Amino acid sequence: MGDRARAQEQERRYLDAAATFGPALERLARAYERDADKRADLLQDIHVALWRSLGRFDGRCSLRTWVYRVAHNTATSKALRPRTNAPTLVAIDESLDSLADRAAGEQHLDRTRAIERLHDLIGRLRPLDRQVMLLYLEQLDAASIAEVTGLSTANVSTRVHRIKQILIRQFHEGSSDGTKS
Amino acid sequence: MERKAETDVEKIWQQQPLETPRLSVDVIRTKAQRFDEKVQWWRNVGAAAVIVALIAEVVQVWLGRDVIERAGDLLTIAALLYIAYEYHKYSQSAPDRLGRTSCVDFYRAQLVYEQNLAGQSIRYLLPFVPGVTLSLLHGVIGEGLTTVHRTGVAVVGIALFLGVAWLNARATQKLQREIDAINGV
Repeated sequence: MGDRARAQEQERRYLDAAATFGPALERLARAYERDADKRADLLQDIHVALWRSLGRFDGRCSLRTWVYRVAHNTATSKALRPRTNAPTLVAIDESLDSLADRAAGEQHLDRTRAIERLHDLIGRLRPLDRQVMLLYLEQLDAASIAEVTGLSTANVSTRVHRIKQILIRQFHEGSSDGTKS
Repeated sequence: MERKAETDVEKIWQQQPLETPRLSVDVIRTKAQRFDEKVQWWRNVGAAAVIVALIAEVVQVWLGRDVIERAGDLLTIAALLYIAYEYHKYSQSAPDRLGRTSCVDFYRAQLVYEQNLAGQSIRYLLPFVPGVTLSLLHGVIGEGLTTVHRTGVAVVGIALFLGVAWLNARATQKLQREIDAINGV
């Protein structure tokens, strides 16, 4: 394949990936970076990394796995660099209970506040738990999450189970009067 | 009931309003090209610097008469070749690595890299050496200083070295705990 054909193929793959996963990538960037300007930079970095990587995509894994790996790895390297004022990150099975408890007491939870609370929750998670939760929210099954993250399927299932418990406590119990969604 | 709660949250997550206008493919292509050009430029600069330094050292070995001096130059050449190898290895990081590497492996590699940086205390201690040494020397040979002053200068200097070393050791240990946690999953 000549250079021109290769470049065309790279562009076709990128357009395909951007059309299919563009919204998911934006949600991912939002989950890693709360500041709007930095978020825009991060999203652009993810797209540039995706473009560059797709020149060598060989189909050994699915395009979806490839895209999520590029996005999470880029976000991890850019957005999770040590910051002096960064909050302490926690594991999914550690102190998230207290965060969930605070929300459970509230009876009215509109959509905007629910999203904010979800971002708060995600923002406090350690990288691997954050990745699992984001992939779960994008409706990937345990096997697909395992392929992206490199965790075992059993490990992912355990984490997803814990995530579900927290989400139910945080969002369902807190809006049992039907005000949610 | 529980399943409904989960799908509600998933729905809320996926229906959040998007705020960024779609990025044009021309912008992405141009930025990717600029990035590649910048990487290539730094590779060329690094290679040129090593070649110039190697030529200078080879000339000195060739012209030198003293055995110790020539041995020193040979050791410098070996060090330059080693640095060039390390630099080459580092700069060969392919763009597809991000897609081929799982998140766990990538995060572990990031932590190991940061740990190596933090663990190289000497990199951070060396810049302090000239200033602190001069201060200590001044404290020792300076006229009109009492023994208490001299001791004070020495203590401050040593405390500075130990403080930096302690901070680095703490950062290294923290990173090691994170690496151990990843290895344990």
